[in-house]
Parts: sequence; C-alpha cells; structure tokens
Amino acid sequence: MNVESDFDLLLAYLDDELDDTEVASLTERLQAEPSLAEQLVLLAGEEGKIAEWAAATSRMRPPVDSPPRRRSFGVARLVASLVLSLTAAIGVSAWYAMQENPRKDPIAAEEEPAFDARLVKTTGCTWDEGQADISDGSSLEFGTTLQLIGGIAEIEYASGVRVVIEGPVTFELSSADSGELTVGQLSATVPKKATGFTIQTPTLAVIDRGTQFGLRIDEAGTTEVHVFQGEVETQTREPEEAPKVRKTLTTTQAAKFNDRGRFAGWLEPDYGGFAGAARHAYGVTHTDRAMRWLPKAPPSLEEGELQSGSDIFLFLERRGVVLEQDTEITSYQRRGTQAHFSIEVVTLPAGTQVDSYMLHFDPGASTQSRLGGIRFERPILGIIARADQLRATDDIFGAHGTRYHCKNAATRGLDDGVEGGAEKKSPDVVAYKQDTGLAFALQVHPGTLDQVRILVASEEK
Amino acid sequence: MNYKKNAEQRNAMMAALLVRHRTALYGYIFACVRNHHDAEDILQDVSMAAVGSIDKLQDESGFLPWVIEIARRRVLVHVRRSQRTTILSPELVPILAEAANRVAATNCISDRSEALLECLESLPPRSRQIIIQRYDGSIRGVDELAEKLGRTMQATYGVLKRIRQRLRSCVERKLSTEASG
Repeated sequence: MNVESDFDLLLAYLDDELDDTEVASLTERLQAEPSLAEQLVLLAGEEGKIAEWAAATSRMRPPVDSPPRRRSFGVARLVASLVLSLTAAIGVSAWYAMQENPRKDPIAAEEEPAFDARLVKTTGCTWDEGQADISDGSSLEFGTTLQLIGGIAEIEYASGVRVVIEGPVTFELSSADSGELTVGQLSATVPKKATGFTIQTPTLAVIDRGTQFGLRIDEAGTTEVHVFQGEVETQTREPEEAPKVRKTLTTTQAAKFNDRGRFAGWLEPDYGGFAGAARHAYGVTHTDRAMRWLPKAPPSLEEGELQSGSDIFLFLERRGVVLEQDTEITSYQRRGTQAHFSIEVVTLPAGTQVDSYMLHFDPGASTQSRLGGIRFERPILGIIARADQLRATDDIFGAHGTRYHCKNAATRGLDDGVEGGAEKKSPDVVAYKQDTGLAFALQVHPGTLDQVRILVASEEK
Repeated sequence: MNYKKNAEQRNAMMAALLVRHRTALYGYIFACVRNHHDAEDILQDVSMAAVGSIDKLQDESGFLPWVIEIARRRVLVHVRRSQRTTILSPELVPILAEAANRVAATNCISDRSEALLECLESLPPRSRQIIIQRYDGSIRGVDELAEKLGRTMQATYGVLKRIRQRLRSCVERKLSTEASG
C-alpha cells in the first residue's frame, strides 16, 4: 500500500488496508511515537463521528421497507448486488464517461455539471418496460418521461433541484426549470438559486417560491399540495384563455385541489407520507446511532407499544404551536447538564411558537442504558422531562392520533434517581450542547420508560 | 466537590462525563477493533458497566482513566477472540489507552467533532453521497463501493482519501478561525 503521509497511513490502517508487514511496522512506530498514537485515536474518533452522521443521514430518508437500525450486512449486500446487476448496462462509470468534459475525480467534476438531470439514487425501483437500464447515476435528458411502477427514485436537476418520485408515478423532466407529474406522488426540494421551479400537473401549475413541497395526484385527478418548508403558489391551467386562479401555501400548509384545479379544502401536512420530505423538513440535522427516527408519529406510546432494547425513538409531534398561556417545562436551553427532573419547573411564556418532538425509550422487561445525541436546525427552547408536565402538555404538543396514556403514568418522564428523598439509583442525564444540540444518558428499569418532549423554536413565517 | 457527601450529583456528573467523552472513548475502541459494529457494541457495553459500577468512581478526575480501563479490558477480550488476519498487537491496547487519555484531556475533541459535523453538512452533493455510501453501513467495504461507483479499488480509495483530506482541511480551517475569532 502506497501511503504518502501519516494521515494516509492511519486511514489505511483503520480501513484494514495494510498487510501484516505494514501493520507490524506501524505497531513499532505507535509504540515509539506517542503523538502518532494520539493521532490514531483522534482519527478513529472522527471515523466514528462520520459513520454516525452517515447512518443518521441515510436513516432520515423514510425507507421503502422497514429500516434496519443496526447494520444488517446480509440484507444490505443482497440489495446492493441486485442494484449492481441493474446498473450493469450503463453504470456510474459510464455516466462519468458521458460528460462533455470527463474528469476522473468525481469531486472535481461536480463543480461543472454537464447534464440536464440525473438519477441520484434508486431504492427498490421497478421501471416500466423500456426503462430497465435506468439506474443510479444515469443521466437524464429533458423530455424524458419516467414511468416508475414501484420504488423510490431521486432525481437531481443541474440547477440543484431535487425531485423524489415514488412509484407508481409518471413524471416528465420537461425543462431546466420544470417537470410534469401526471399521476402519483413526488416531493421537491428547490434551492434558492432555482426559485420559480414549476411542477405542472394536468390541472395545476405548482410554482416554487423557495421551498420544499410534496405533490400527490390520484387517478380521479385530485391533487394534494403539501408545503414542508417555504412557500409555493398554485395556478389553475384550464381553460388556457381564462384568468388563472391562484393560491399561496406556506410552511406546514397542505391543501386539496379538485380535478379542475380549484381549491377543495385544507389538509394536515403529511410529513411522513413523502419519501422526499427530507430531514430539513423535520428540522433535525443529526441524530446518533442510538436513535431511530420515525418519519410518522406512532399510533400509541403506551407501555409495550413502541418497544426496543436498543433504539431510542424520536419523532416530530407538532409544528408551529403558539403557546396560549405560560407553560411549565422542566428546563430551558443552555442550562448545561440536567439531572434533577423531579424538582425542576420553569416557564415558557405565552406567545412562544414551538415545534415539538418526542423522544421515547422503552426497552421492556430489561434494564438498559443508552447514550445518545441529537441536533436540530433551530434553537432548542427547552425540554419537558417530568411525568406530570408531559401529561399536562400532551394535548398542546402531542401528535394528532397518537395515544399518550400510560398505565403507570408517573414513570413516563426522566428519572433523577431519587426515591423517598434519597438517591437510590443512577439518574437520567440531559446535557445541552450549544443552543441546538442535546446529549443524554438514559437508564430505564423494568416497568418504566423514558420520555422527553423537546421544544424547538419554530421557523419565523 | 465532596463526592461521598453528594452521591446524586456524582451520579449525574458521571453520566454527563460519559456523554462528553463518548467520541474519545469510541476513537480508542475503534482504533483497536477497526469495525464500527464491534466498536459500537463495546462502547455500549462499557457504558453499561460504568453506570452499573458507579460506586467505584472516586472523583471526576478519575473518570477517564477508569472508563478507559473498562474499555481496555473489553477490547483485549475482543482482540483475543478476533478472527482478523492483520490483527492489532495486544501490546498496543494499553498504549492506545494512554493516548486516548491524553487526547480526551486536551478538550479539543469536542470542538473537532462539532467542526467535523459542520464540514460534513457542507460537503458538495456528490462527495456527500459517496461518504454516506461508504459509511452508512449499507456496504461491507471499499470493494463494494468501488463496484457501485464503477471504479477500481485504488481509484475509490483515492476518492475517499481526497474527501477525508478535504474534511480534515475544513475542520482545521474552522478550528483556526474559531481560535482567531
């Protein structure tokens, strides 16, 4: 293995790329050079952070099938081999070769996109006859109509617009700044530079005003527009000569339009129902491996209903809640380390606008400890970790359709390890990390569960 | 702080320390076992052992050597059982443990981790995609990634190395900006 620096050498070692002789030589150096050993530990810690970030980022995308929380190589390899067999015809290397200015370094190449659009990632895709050779990395020309029978495909326009289509769906890449959805559903994430990007449906033009949104069209021609972030404008298309009927939707708004493109009522925004409602739609930028993100609030949080010995579950409960009155919570942000949950009461003032997230750890019949961390896009305002405060705020912040009732309601929150005025066992601990991060060490005993409601500042409208 | 008189506070501090030093601890374990699954399992095992034997912790300054000692024992058991062909010498396990103690004591690892996460978020889309594919656990090794990218192993290592170098420069830049700001 040819290595040019200690950094390369240590990276190669961690990647298991050194042979026996090279490992022996490195071992000698590590014994003789304390600074090299420190460099190795530091690099290995960073490798762990990257793996944590990659797993969390990958997990944020709602999966087609139930996602393995831990790495399941057997299944992953099977899926990978299937994808590889599909990519044989074109393949990513061929895609690079097709560039006007092919460059071997994909990092350098991305500064000069020479494609109309391309397929970034496909998951479990079955394409219509004639499109079987489409695979990850395929370039797509404007005018191409994609007919996806099943699965999820993510398309990237050269402008940076990302469209995720979910089969069954028919979608045409019309031009650099538009696409056409005939039937099915998609979600689009539009960067600022591409504002004005438009998705045409048979009855509507949905024009981006700097946003992330989802579109769904059923066989009867009814269209749903869900705005996850930002703003979109809808315009009727028919009849062509008639004045357009316009409607504007903003963050967290969703609406239904009839088969003539006319407004037909408001909907609850369906964050969990769109694969492309990417993580920023949820306002969470990072979770570590102990946590499992649920794209949709579960039907029940009662004991035993959402149970795992290894996973701490997290989901968005509600967005944009404006407090009608002063509300008791357990701690404010920037309180440092927190472990006295039974006695803490502070108040969040009326008028505060928050997004609410629920963290839930119920390992069942065994005692389990987990360490975890989470980072949000916007500042954390505080947490609710006391059982009585959780109960009192379920109606205010709780997800619609989720049952929060617990038979042993007193054991819902975090535990400070104090019983009868004396310390009996290890407490749960929460530590604020800057204004957007939270780290925690949870320990759950049989018959109890840990829950924390995390309140994050809503985006200003 | 009088730890004997204030056991509750000691408990809270111990758990918080476990969170704070997670990256250094993981770094030590991963440096020894070089497998994220195994490292994660050992880390969770060490955390549980630490929480379970909290009474043995005398004071805050003893936390790191104590928890690394727990990790060292578990790593040694793992290394002895390992089927790897290019195995780490068991003699290195205590040497890396000492290095982990020194690294964690500098308090720089937390800043580095924060900077690294910011740098990962700012990666260009294609680099980001490659890093996710490499690290998210969906493939076994670089050979699979190479196949997926339609490149040779050597070229794929080159790409990964360049992204890691880019991340490293980004982290250094951020840290030096913070230091000068």
